[in-house]
Amino acid sequence: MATVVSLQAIIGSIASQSPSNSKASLFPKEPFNLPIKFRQNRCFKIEATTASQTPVLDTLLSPSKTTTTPHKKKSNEASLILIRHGESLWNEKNLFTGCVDVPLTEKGVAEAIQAGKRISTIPVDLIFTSSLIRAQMTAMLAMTQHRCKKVPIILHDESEKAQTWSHVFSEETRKQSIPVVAAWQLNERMYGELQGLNKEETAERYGTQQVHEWRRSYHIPPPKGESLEMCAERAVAYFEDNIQPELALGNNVLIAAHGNSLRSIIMYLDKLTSQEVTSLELSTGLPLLYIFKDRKFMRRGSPVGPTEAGVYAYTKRLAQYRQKLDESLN
Amino acid sequence: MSTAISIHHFVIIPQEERETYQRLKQLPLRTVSYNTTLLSPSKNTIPDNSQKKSNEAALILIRHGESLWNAKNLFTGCVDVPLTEKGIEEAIEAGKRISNIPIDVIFTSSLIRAQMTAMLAMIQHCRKKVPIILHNESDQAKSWSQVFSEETKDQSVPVIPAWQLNERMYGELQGLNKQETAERYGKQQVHEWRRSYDIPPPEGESLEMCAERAVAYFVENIEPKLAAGKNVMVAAHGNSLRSIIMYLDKLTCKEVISLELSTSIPLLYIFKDGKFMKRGSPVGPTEAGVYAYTKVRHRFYCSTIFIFFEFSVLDGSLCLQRLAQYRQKLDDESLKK
Repeated sequence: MATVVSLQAIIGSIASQSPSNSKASLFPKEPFNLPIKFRQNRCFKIEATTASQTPVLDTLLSPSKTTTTPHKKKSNEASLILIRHGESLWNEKNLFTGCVDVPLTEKGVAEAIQAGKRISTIPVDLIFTSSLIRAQMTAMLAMTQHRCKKVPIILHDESEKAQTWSHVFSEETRKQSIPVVAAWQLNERMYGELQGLNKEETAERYGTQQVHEWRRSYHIPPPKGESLEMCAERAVAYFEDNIQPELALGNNVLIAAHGNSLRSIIMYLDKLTSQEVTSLELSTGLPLLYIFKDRKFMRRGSPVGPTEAGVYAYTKRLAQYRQKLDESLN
Repeated sequence: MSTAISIHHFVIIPQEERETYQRLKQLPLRTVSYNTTLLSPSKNTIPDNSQKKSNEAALILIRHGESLWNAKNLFTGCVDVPLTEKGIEEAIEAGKRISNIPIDVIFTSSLIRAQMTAMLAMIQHCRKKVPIILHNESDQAKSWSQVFSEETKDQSVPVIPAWQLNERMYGELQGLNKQETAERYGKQQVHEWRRSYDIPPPEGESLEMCAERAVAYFVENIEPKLAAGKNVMVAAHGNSLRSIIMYLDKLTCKEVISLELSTSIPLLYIFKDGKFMKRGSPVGPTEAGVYAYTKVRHRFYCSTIFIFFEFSVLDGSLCLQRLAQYRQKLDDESLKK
């Protein structure tokens, strides 16, 4: 009897794997155990399945074996910044984009840089983006404005070769780096057979009523596409499994993604209803700040940037960070 | 048969034809702008009345600009480090220089600094086609990125990322600065790794190894596109591009080691009859210079030509025929090599 109970306890503790477990790696197991097709992959051919549990920051650290060094909590609060990418070339042409990998316009580039200025004094330890270039560019452009001068480095885990080839061999350099994780789960809602169509074409093909329904409803997907509900399911799951544990460890996170994937996450952070989320509009180029503390998310609005006057509700920790940056300049 | 209207800008500096020809002979192979905006909404990017697809194609090579580790003087290799503000500006500059050269397909490495360079450059392109990065890493990635409008597809330029175009992998030097490296391995050794052709740094690639995979990729994937008449842009890195240039210009190992590629200055080649002809660096639409047309293009465009003089044209005759002949001469000379 006692044996059964203890086995159950062991299974239970493995299943729950609470983030505050100091032995847990920074980058939980699940994404690497998903079937290959669900893993974010860029252009490297998949040579071997790397299902190893690799902590995010450790991927930069140990070139060979995976380590599960215990990570102490850095702080009991962490900042979370959400940035929606700016205008893309298809936004400009008024075409449904979805998961088609279309880059930014000049305006989109300027919006990213502006957003970067607004967050230039908020600490960033880790960046998550989608697998689409417009979100990645937004993150990279924004970070050129950051005062900490740390260097974002995009992690490549799509194959063993990709991993080995991107290793960093200097301790000091690693400390000055910010890992960037690209994840398809943060992609824009997949728009199925509407991708590439303009509003006119779509209305002609399917009828205005139907199109309005797809765009504004919560659970009706366009043909071969995702509903907002489906998008939310994979985006929020990813957030909970991969991003929240980092915040719990005190790592400050920046997420650069898309309208629908971010709305989904905000729905989770602010506990919105499906009706509230369908009417939620996210500005592009305007970062949103949340503070994660005691397992709660507190909305802090949008940082105004260093050259603008305004009342901004800094936490003491953020104010101290800002102080440090100012002092390092003098 | 669709009609095409072509618009050309010519700038000719000297006055006399003879003077022109003499002067042209002395000039290095630098090219100037030519605006060829194809206004016909045909299916192919090259209009149908060229009978078959053109037997020549443009190849543009762009090396990305300053990355955050270049600025810090660290060995980068295949670590995926983005561009600095300067690198961003360089990409935009490069884009302006090639804004009037047709592009049908883009190849980049799998590293963000090359991809960003390509995307930023294309923002400047006059044709306003939309680059779309292809995703083949999984079935889902492929099906999720499908486009469902023919018209939209026609207005797109596919972008193909390939790790084979990545920078040379620098092994255990990646992330180290020059001082650290010299301390760890000795100055002599480091110099050898950086300047030799076939000696790799520990766990890294030699230039020879880099060239092997880059050129193989070029021959298997890029050259066929050029042969089919597609105009190609390659946005990549110092070593992968040197490797390709070694192949295009038939350089020796010694020559390639001392080859330095400027950042933000695109290189143009014309691929014709299975051969690559170096055409220098496009100077961009706001600068004066002479561009040597190919005879084929000249004949084709002659039928419906509007000629605008953008800059002050000194007294002188506009001589398309001579320019085309000059171009022919250049081609003949390079074929003799």
